[in-house]
Amino acid sequence: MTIVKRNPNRIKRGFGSRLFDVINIVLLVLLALTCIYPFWDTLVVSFSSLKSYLSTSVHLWPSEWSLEGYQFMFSNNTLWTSYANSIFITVVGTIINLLVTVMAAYTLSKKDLKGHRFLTFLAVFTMMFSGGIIPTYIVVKDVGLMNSLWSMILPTAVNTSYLIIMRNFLFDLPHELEESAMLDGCTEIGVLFRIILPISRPSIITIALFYAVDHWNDFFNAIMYIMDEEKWPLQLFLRSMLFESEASYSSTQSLFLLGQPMKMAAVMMAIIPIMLVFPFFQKYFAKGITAGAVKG
Amino acid sequence: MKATKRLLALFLCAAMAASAAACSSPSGGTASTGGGSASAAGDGGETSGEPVPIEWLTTGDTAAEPIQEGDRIIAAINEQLGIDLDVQIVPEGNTEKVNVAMASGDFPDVVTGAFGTSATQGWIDNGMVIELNQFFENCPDMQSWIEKDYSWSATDGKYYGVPFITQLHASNVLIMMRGDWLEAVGMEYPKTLDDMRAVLEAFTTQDPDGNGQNDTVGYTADKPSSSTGQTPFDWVFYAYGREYADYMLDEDGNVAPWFEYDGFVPAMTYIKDLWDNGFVDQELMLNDASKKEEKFYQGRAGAFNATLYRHVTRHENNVKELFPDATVVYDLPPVGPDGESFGITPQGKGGFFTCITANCANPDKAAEFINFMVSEEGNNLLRLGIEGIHYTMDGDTVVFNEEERAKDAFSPDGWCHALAWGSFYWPLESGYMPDSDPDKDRALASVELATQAQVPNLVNQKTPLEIENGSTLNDVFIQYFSDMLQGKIGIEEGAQQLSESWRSQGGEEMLAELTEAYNAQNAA
Repeated sequence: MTIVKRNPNRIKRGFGSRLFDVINIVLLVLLALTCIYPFWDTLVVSFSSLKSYLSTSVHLWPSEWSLEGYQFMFSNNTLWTSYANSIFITVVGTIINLLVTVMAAYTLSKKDLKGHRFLTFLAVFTMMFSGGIIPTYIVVKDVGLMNSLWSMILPTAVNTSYLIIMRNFLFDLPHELEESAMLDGCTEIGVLFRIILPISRPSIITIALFYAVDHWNDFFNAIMYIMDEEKWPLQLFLRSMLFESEASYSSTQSLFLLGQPMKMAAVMMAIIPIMLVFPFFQKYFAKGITAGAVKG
Repeated sequence: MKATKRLLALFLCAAMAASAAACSSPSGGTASTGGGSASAAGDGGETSGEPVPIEWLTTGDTAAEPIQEGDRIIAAINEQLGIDLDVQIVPEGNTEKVNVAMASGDFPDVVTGAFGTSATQGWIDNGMVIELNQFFENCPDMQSWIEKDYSWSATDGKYYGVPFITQLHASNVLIMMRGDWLEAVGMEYPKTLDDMRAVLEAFTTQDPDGNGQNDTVGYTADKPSSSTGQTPFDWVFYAYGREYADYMLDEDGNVAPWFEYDGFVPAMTYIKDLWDNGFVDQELMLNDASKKEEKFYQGRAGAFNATLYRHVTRHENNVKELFPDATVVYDLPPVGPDGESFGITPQGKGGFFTCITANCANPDKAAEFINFMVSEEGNNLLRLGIEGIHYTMDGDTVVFNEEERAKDAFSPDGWCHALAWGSFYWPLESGYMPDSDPDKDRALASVELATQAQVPNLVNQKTPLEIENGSTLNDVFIQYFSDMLQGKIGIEEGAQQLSESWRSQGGEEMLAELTEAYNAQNAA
């Protein structure tokens, strides 16, 4: 028989405190469910037959499984090209974003750089007053980026908000780190890549994730600059598929009738790849988001 | 940890390699471009002189098959007209892209934008497009197209574009009901407003699905629209004598808001009676189109304002998913107290506008191209293809060669080429359906019937202030409509306040402009 001894130092909690915890937990669980349910509903509907979808308004589990929506999506060769385009834009775009952002942020974080406040102001200025659609379109056209995947990468090479976050994070790092590296013979570039970047990993990964999500979801730039269907990113392709199933006079009867399960399959295909990346970077996330939030 | 890193690195390498491979695949210029020269047609011959390049930027039919290099239909057009056509179809039919391209000075030769918008009006005002009257002599099909339906679209007697207003003379909306429910309650499709009330009451109270539960409602619909101003109960307003879909004429011959007509208060009273008795879906003010349809398919509502044409089959099949013995019926909407007024949908005001730009190097050829696109010859080419290649005739019957059609940008099952629809035609307005569709006759008959319930507009075209303030004023109407329906304000008092509020919030200026437009339209 095991005798469990009570910890004499443990503070005895009153009924009110426990009740507060219970209410807190219930409310938070409900809140979590309101976030999770739309995703779950989408997932369930995407695997449901039309009959199963229509049989109830609340979808907790498919009463009749169907892969029709996914089958239709996978049967289209353009899907894979679009996936490849989106992956290219996301991977290459994010690498370029990070290179430019980190180098610019590092420069702006230098307290001994003459005019660093003015340069920062110039960057911030673009957050309030941007060029607008038409000037940007003219620039993209004149530099020959129209109908090129680079039109979705280069015009968005820097996001000023992320630049400021990064700059503030680097601003907080002790100057002595750089000085000691310099004494050991490191160059400015060496300091950035060998000293600063390794200790900035949480911020960089968080910003990388933001950039990646932005690139993955980019729809507007694709509509503006891409005409060639072979260069469509995934978002444009999926939207086009939905449009075809809903409105086209050219689609086949079966596609026309697939309905909501096919739409939800398209949604799942758009969000799952980028969602899979999140767990890998989760541990850096909280640290990364708060980095640079204090000092301006 | 190392293994994870390796896996990640491998994944990234694979992704880069796949992307690079995809990017390096030959695209041959713009994918949306046919670009096929006459010689690519296989049976095409050489035209005299160099073909004139014509670039056409259009919203087009975004759901159509992509046009590949060497498309024989494009080649046939090129050969026929002596041009080298480069078609650029904007993804998603996004008119903003067209407007931005034009605003940035990136002019194609021919451009199709949205009709009746400030952007296309700006093209005319700023001299970005040229007048078409000068080409009429050589382009009779274009001339008759414009003068038949769009003579009022001239600016100072000059036409600057070829309009195509969707659903101008065709409609596909009627009230669809469960035929088996009507049988269950021993009623027929309602002919009058009184009949309609009785049917909706029976659907709500007499357990038409026989499941022993009080879980059905008579009518559902989608919420009022800010952009169009349409309500779920327009059929009631029309039955009470609303003459035009957009506005009305007051005693002095000025344009006035439609809800100032005599029938508004009795119509609202009828609607509120349905609402108060629970004969209509109480979530109606929140429904979107798919929610409305879902309720009908799920057997929760017995009637709804349904889009027809090809959708008849979709609605029927979806209802049968859960209720295999269900039937659907539709007919003209009920007539009002005068025994003759009825209606359900407005005539269209929006659509497409195809122009020749000021930068076009060879406007004669561009005009010829537009002329071809609206000609019977052009229609036949784009809908059927080339005889002997894409189809053959068996007596009067068209026999499609799907294998050959699949090599060009034709959609399967007898549907048309990518250029057939979008800028000048849609199948609904054209009364087109391929013979291969088993439900063709029913679909076309539904359009014919629904068109009888289409209500004309007083003013043909949207005015600049209407474009700017129309949706705000529609919101004013919707707010009062909702308040009257839910009893927050009395109907007579609400109608009075609605009128005052609507006029004071920009409506008065808009009406003055509309009156001017109406007078100009009549003078033309």
